[in-house]
Amino acid sequence: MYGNTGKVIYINCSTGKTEIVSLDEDVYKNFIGGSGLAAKLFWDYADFDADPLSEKAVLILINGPLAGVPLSGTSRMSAVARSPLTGALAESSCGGYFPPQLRYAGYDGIIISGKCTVPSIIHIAHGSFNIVSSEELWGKTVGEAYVKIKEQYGERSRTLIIGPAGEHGVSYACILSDAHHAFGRCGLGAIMGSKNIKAIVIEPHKTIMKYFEEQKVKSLIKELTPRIKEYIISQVLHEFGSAGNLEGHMYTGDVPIKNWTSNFNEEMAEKLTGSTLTEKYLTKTGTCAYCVVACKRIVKVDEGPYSIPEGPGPEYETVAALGCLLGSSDLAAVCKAGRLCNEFGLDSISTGATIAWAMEAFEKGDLTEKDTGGITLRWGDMPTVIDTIIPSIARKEGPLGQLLSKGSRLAAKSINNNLIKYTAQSKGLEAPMHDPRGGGHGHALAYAVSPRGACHVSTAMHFMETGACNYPEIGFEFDLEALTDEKKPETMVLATAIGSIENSACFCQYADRSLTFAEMVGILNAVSGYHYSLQDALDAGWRIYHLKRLINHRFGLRACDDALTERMLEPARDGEPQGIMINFDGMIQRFYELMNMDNVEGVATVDTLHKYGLEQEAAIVWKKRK
Amino acid sequence: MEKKKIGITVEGAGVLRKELFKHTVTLDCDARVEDLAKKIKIKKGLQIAFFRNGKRLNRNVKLHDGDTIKVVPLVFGG
Repeated sequence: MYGNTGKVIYINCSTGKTEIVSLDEDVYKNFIGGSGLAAKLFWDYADFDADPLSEKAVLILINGPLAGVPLSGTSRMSAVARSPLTGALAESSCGGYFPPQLRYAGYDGIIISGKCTVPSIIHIAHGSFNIVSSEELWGKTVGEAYVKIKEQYGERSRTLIIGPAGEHGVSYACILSDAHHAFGRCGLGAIMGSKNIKAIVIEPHKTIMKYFEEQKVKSLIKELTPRIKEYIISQVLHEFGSAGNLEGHMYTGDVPIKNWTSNFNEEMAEKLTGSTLTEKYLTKTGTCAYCVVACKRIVKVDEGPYSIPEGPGPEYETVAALGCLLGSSDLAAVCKAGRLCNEFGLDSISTGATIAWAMEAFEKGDLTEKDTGGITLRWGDMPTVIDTIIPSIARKEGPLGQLLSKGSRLAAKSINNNLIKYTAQSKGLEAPMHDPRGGGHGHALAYAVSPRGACHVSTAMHFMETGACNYPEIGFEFDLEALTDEKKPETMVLATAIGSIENSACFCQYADRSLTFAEMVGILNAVSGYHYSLQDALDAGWRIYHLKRLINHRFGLRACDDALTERMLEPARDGEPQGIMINFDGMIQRFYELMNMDNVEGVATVDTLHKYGLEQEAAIVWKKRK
Repeated sequence: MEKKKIGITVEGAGVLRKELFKHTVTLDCDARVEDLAKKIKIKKGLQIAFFRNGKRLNRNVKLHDGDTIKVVPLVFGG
């Protein structure tokens, strides 16, 4: 086997049983790796009746097939489970330095089931892996635990750590890698916490990867690295971070403000954009393994009420979710709120979105001081957000902390079903900080049909719709108008396949922007020997997408769950998209038709599933239906 | 006869803030957005859009003396 090792660690935390699962080459070829392979293993290993936070639930982490290759944007991995936030398939990806070390240690991933009797860590070193009691780490923030682990296991060890939010089962708790990179979405940190696993630690290994075509891989790295580095988007990301064009997004109406009630605020744009962050608070840039883009921010706020020591800085999603969405233009406050989310192990998107919903509900009188435990919620009140709300969510403290730790959909539902209409989520996953009403109507479709819920990275629609990429070699040469539905379902068909490939091969969606589709497939073939034609790769992408839809069907989700809330579809009230309606129903029906999906069940027809080799899976889901 | 001139204030947004400081561009009185686009120099490969009072302008829209135009880079992601 090339690239991949064919070995996955299996750990049952309840029994202490550990083993190595060996996987056939065909499984890799059919499901690529990363998110796709994790979904396949989830299908094989999951108890579909298990509560996401129960002992029976599984958490699966799988490397991309390119993890460990010294090429920008390829050393990444995906985590998959059932989400405690949505009840649907959870998936999230992460870069950093953990994935290549896992590969060098000889493994492609880790399957975790059961529950440790005491707080523990999983320790991987020198050909062995085991569960080690670590009660002293429980209760510590991510940063505190990180320092302790480094002291014990060495400076070069790599970590996945949860914070207090994961320990308390907050439904949008995340997992931090080396206290900076995150499996941010869907509450995977809560699942790790429910298993009493505080951290996964890997010590450095020196194994050399075997490539299918050694010389070709070397020449591709040599050819692609300077191109990735010099690409305009890479330069912008390096200099200004992923928030580098927040101001530009604002003018197009892409940035949701004050819980999606506004799409334009010039002052906010200037004060929060990435160039302001660079000028005022950036101390240096950070990066993931082998990446020349270096989009990560290291920031320090020297003085004032929001002073923070040098450490991880906010990315675009965090700036928009904890700034624009809450009605704040205070960048120092956003840096501090983002840092708190890191330390507590909270997804900053869901945190910001859930607080924003609560602020609006309080303003409308739908949420009262009785619900909040006497706390007054006001737009832009960052002292309360930082000192009270975020810590109380992370620890599920008090009525407000308990309420908001459920996420916006369940929080709204627990007060009054009618309040769901002004949440901004799909399937319960809070939408990222790109408003389809201004960013592009195809985003609306992408959010709705994404298996994990509202997501702009599960497909390539975000970049395809806005002209950031073209793939003529697979027939995508459309010059799309962002604020119409024209050709969006057709684009979405390709976008699902490309997104599945990106998330399964674990290409970073920044670093791979300058690559053609043929080059993406070429590097996969050269490293892993998959022998994909372009069509084979697309088919693998669609196979993975359909499998994830089948998983969701087994969790009870149907086509009617591919929905956006009223707030996300009402005409924008200001800015560039003011008054424009999205033809959501038209797009989604056409998409089902083009994908041969049943528009009630929300999964592909039997014939389509057979076409992608999912006969057994089809039999289970369609037989159950009858 | 030489055409009358108009003054347009131009300002870069987002990643163009450093590259395109606020300044005035002089154009012919019948100038359109397209003419302004030819006058400004920005990073090669960067797609841009023009906004006036928060509204995006088509390239054939006529400009007026005293207009303030934001030049917005269309870099997507984040």
